[in-house]
Amino acid sequence: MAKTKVAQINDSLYDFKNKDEYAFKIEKGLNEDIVKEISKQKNEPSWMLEIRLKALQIYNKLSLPVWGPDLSELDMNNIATYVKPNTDIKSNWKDVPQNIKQTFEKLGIPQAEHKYLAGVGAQYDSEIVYHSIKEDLQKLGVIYTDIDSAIKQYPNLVKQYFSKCVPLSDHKFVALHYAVFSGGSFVYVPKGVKLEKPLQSYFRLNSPDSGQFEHTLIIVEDDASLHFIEGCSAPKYSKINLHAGCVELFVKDNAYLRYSTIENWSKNMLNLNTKKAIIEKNAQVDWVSGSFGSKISMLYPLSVLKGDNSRTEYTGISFAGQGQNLDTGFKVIHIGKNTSSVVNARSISKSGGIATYRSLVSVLPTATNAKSSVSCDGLMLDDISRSDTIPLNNIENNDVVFSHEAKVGKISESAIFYLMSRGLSEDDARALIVRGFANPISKELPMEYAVEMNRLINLELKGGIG
Amino acid sequence: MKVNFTPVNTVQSYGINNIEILDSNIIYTPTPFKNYKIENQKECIVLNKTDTNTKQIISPELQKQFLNANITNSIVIKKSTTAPIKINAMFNEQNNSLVDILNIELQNNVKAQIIITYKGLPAYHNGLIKINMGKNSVLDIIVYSNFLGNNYLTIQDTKQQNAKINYCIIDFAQQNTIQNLYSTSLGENTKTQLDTMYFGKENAVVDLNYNVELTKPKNIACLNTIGALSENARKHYKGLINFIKGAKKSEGSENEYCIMLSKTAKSKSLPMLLCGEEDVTGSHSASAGKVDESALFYIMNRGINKTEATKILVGAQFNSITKNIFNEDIKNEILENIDRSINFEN
Repeated sequence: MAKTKVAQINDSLYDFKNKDEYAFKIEKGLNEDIVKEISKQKNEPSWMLEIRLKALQIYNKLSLPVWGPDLSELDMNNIATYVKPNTDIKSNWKDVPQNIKQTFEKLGIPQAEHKYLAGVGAQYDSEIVYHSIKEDLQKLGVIYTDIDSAIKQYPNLVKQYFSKCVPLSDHKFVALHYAVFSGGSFVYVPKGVKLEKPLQSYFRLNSPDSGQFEHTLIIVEDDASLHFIEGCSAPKYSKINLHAGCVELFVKDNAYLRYSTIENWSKNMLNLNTKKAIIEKNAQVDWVSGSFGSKISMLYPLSVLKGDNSRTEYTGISFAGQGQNLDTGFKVIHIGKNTSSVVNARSISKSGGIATYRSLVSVLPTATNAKSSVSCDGLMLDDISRSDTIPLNNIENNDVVFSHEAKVGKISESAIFYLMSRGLSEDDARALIVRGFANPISKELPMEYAVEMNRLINLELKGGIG
Repeated sequence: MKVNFTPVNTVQSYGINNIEILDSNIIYTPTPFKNYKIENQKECIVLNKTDTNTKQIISPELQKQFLNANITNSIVIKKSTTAPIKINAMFNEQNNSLVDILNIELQNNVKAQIIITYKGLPAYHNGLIKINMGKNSVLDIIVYSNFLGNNYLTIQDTKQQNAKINYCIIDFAQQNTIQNLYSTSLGENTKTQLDTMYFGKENAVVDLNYNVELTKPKNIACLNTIGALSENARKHYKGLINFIKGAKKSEGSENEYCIMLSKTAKSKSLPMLLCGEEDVTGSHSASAGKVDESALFYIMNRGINKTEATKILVGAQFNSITKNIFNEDIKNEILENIDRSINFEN
C-alpha cells in the first residue's frame, strides 16, 4: 500500500537569525572564574554565588548518564554560558530594541499578549528583555517577574523555594544549570487567587555556540490556580547549542497549576531540561507537553504527589524527524494517601528519527489507595525510524490500582480500509488517523496553541505517494 | 553477586538493573548429583556433550560455575514424541546442589513435549537450558521448580523457520528466583510463547529478565507473567521485546500482572518495547495491586473466610496460565502450593 509523505516540521517560522549582537558574551567554557563573572555581571547577592560555586563542584564530580542518547557531541569548552542582550528588561514593547522586538513579533508573542494572556515574559539569549503583567493581577498580589528581579526584590521568598524542589545534585545538567543559570521567570500566586487567563514565558536563543539556562520558579498558594505556558525556539546553527533550563513548581493545598510547553528548539540544540513539581494536599498539576525540536532531548517532568488526595496528569506528544533523538517521558512519585496520576503520551517518528518514551511511576509505602494509569503509544511513519518504550514501574504497597499499557506500530491498515470504505481516499484516511493520533494532546491546549501545534507539525497529508 | 543486567541501560538509582543478591550462596564445585533422571529416553538420543556458550548471562560468577557442572546432557529429538520426555531432579540431603546444563535439539518437522522438574528438600540450583529448534518444529516445555533455596535458571533458544516454542516456567522456589531468557529467531514465521508463574514469599527476590528478539518477518512473541508476592518478597520484572529491522509483519505482546498479598511486598516492572521496524504490532501492559476487594467481599459474603477467598481469587488469576499446562500432576501441585502459601490466619 502506498505511503503518505509527511513533511518535516516547518521551521521557517522559527528559523530566522538576528545578527549576533550583545552587550556582553562570556568566554566559552566552564570554570570558577566564568561562574564568578556571571554572578558579577548580574550583581547578585553572595548567597547566590555560593550556590553557583557549590553547583560547579557537583557538576565536576558527576559523570554523564550511562543511559539515554549519546551526549558525546557536547563540549562545554565550545559553549558560552552567558550572553547579555543589548537591552535591559522593559515593560513596554515600544522600548525593546527593534531587532529583538521584531523577533518576538514574528513569533506572535505581543499579539498573544494582547488577545488572551494575563502576562508575558520574553527572554532573548540569557536575559529577560520584556516582562509584563495585567495591573489588576498585581493588585491581587500576583508576582510575575524575571528571576533576577525576584532575587533582589523578594529575597526571602526566593531563598525559601529556590533549589528546594530540584536539588543541585539531582543530575549533572542540573548542577550545570545552577552554576550558570540566567533568566527565567518567577511567579507567585497568593492564596485564593485564580487567574482566568494564562501567563506565558517565551525563551529565544539567538546567539550561536551558546547555551540557555533559564530558571522558572512558580509558587501557587492554597486555593489558587494558574495556567502557565512556556514556549521556546532558536534558529539553526552548524554547531551545537545547549539548553539546560530548570523548572521548579510548588503547588500548595487545594491549588491547581497547568503547565503547558510547546518546544521547538532548532535541530542543533541539545535540550537537557529538568522540570519538577511538588504537589500538596488536594492540589493538582497538569502537564501538557509538545516536543518537536532539538537534535537531542532528554526531558522527563516529575510530579511529586506529596499531599493526600493530590493528583497529576501528563499529556505529551513528541515528533522525532530526521536527525532527531527525542528521549522524553514522565515521572511521578506517589507519597500521600489517595493520590492519582494519569499519563497519556504519544510519539511520532519519521525519516530516521528516534522517539523514546522513558518513564517512572513510583508508589511509595505511604501512598495507600493510590491510583495510576499510564498509556503510551508510538507511531512509526517509515521503516528507517525508531520508537522505543522503556517504562519503569515501582510499586511498594499493595493498596494500589496500577496499570500501564503501550502500543507501537504503523498506521493500522484495517483502519485505513474502514475509512476508505466510507468514501475517503487513502491519503485522506491516513491524514485523518495521524491527526486523530495527535488530537488528545492538541485538545488540551488553548485553541490558539493547538493551532500553532498543528501548524508546527505541519503534517502535509496531501496525499503524496511515497 | 550482581545479576541480570538488561540490554537497555536504565537509571541506576531505580534499582531494577544489575541488582545485588546478598545471599547468593554460590557453590563453585558441587558434589556429584545422583538424583537426576531422564524418563522416556526412547523418545530421544541422550549425549553427554554440551555447549555452554550463551549470548546473555545472569552473572559472570554463575557462568563460570558451568565449567564445573555436575550434570551435563544433550538431548537430540529426531522424531515426534509420543509421550513427554521427563527430566526430574530431586533434591535431598546427599544431593543438594545442582549445576546442570541441558542442550535440547529438535530436528526439522519434530513435535515434542518436555517436562523438567526441580523439587525436594532445601537445595541450590544453577541451570542452563539451551534449545535449538529445527524448521517446522514445535516444542512444549514446562520447567517447574519447587524447593527451598536459590534457583538460578538461564534459558536460551534459537528457532529456524516456522518453529514454535511454548514455555511454561513455574517457580515456587522459596528463596531467590533468578531467571534469564534470551530467545531469537533465525527464520521467518516463528513463535515464542512464554508463560511464567511465580510465588515469592518471606524475603525472596524474584528477578526475571527476558529478552525476545524478533529478527525475521512474521516472528511472533507473546510473554505472559503472573505472580504473587507475600510478606517481604520483592520482584523485578524486566521484559524486552526487540523488533529488529526487517522483522516485517511481526507481532509482540507482553503482559505482566503482580498480585501483592502483603503491605510490605514490592514490585518493580520494566516492560520494554524496542522497535526498529515500522511494519509490526507491539504492545505491552503491566499492572499490580492487591486482590480485588469487591470480588473478595462477594466471595466472603458466601460464608468463605478471607484466606480461602483469597486462594480462590489467586488461583483464578493463575488459571490463565495453568489452563494451558498439559500435565495434570503439575497443575494439581500448583494449586496445592497456592493453598499452602496463602494464610492470613497466622
